[in-house]
Amino acid sequence: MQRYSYNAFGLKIISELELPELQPTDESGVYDIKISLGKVPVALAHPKITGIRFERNEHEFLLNVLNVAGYYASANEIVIRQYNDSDLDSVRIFLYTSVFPAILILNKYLPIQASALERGGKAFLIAGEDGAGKSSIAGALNKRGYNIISDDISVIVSTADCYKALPGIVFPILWENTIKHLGKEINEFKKVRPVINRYWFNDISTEFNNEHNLTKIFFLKENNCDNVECKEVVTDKEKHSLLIEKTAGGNFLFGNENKELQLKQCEGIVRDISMWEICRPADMDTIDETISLIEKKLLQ
Amino acid sequence: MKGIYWLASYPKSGNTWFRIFLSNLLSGKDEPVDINNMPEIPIASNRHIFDKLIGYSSVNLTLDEIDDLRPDIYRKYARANEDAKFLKIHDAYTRLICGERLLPYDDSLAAIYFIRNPLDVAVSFAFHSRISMDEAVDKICADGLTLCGIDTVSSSQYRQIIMSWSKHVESWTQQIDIDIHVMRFEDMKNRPLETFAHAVDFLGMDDKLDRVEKAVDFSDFKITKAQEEKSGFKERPSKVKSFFREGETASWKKHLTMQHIQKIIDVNRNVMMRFGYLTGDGEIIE
Repeated sequence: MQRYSYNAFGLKIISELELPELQPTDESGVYDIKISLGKVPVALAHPKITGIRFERNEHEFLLNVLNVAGYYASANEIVIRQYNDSDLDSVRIFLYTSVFPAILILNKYLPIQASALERGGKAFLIAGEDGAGKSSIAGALNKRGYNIISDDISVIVSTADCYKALPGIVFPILWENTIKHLGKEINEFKKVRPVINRYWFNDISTEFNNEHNLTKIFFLKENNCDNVECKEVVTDKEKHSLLIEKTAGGNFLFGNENKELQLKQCEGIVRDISMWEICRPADMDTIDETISLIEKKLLQ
Repeated sequence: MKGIYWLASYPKSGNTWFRIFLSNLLSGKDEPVDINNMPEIPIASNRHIFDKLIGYSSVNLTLDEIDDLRPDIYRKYARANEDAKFLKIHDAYTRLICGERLLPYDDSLAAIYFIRNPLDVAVSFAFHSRISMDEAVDKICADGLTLCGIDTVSSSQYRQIIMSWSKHVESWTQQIDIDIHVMRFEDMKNRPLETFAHAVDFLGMDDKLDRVEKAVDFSDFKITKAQEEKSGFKERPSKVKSFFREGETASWKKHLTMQHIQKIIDVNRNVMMRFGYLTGDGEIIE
């Protein structure tokens, strides 16, 4: 069977399934994660947390997306069982958005529900819930010359003198109306699943300098304000709580056994990185105003 | 006791008022609860809260695929909590394409259904949604009405199938799966103590009448309106001046035309009669 090699989130991945949204790399050397197609257990032997369509314990994660695929993940392996008649696009999107955060946690990384961008060697995150507008803002900022390091899920690592966001999946996933907002036609882009109106926005520039320091994190929040508002998150307690809240997978994936690691990883980021909360009116198009505010804060 | 109490209503029918009452009753304090700091009673369509129970993000699912998961979501929610939980809901009581009920009746303890004169609902809906009276009247008469039902934009809520006002009322009041108590907005307004006390009794909360009376007083429209004027209300939609607008009955007289009134009556006549909004001769009861 043909095998494909990729790099994502600092991990080398060997896969039996082609993953065109990831950065290809050469096949030589050791790999961190192997993705194969095969049988997936119906249940974990010793689940610690059981959700509606997932189970997890300290070392394993099991996900069942009805009519799409079953996924089994351990620290260095993902097995996928594609269900009859499902399409590979659907299989991939749940792999990226649900199984990858789980495997990052199993590998003791801190995945943040955020898009990471950079310009001039300085990186920043735009964090928020699904639907908060991370990818739309990332796509629009890319048009203004900011490079996307990773969309939707970002991993931060500490080095000797700074924090860095690792390159992940760079293509933003945008809703139909956002693509139109960016002045593009939707037929130029591929749907993430044939049955839903979200698209891989591959019309982006992705060349970036790996030597970028993480400087700021913006948290997007929807509320009933009448205009876009931005305020600095001042206290460590507040910063900490926002960061924990935006850990991809949240408490359900993290669990108590990883809590200490999660808290420790957040501690340094809270101390060293400035954070801003951006409140946007719900159900209104405020992409341009949001971008202007972010650019202003980046200059500070 | 585990399970869910549903606070169900067509939008703008008194659901929030009851939640404020309930918060005051549960708080038992000698001052009104802060409307921005009430014990959380989430809406059943809240994507951020309920996605966490699934294991993957519902933004990559179709609207129908999400609906298929909702019975399991509420079942899980009911069973994961030690105590009974309240959930607000605007969905009509419907079955899924597969035949299963949207709400798991076996994990439901009971439902309170809030009903309000559709003429007033139309007016309140228009102000709340910043739409014209024409549009609001069309919406509450439309069998296919949904909230958050567009699949080309992101939304913080799951799609809610609402249907027309009368279909919504019938869906809840004619189902026999979940024990239900109907509360008329007009009775909450005109005979508050008796009406709220009945609801408390129905919920088996066994509260003394003086506590109920205090909670009724603390959730009075004037108090909540004053709180909103002073500190805002987090549930107010953007660009809408205030959530608590008039809180009156019969405001349709000021805002609806004869054509609006006739259309609402034509579409909803039988249910309006059944719930005391029209006489047998078709006269509007105020």
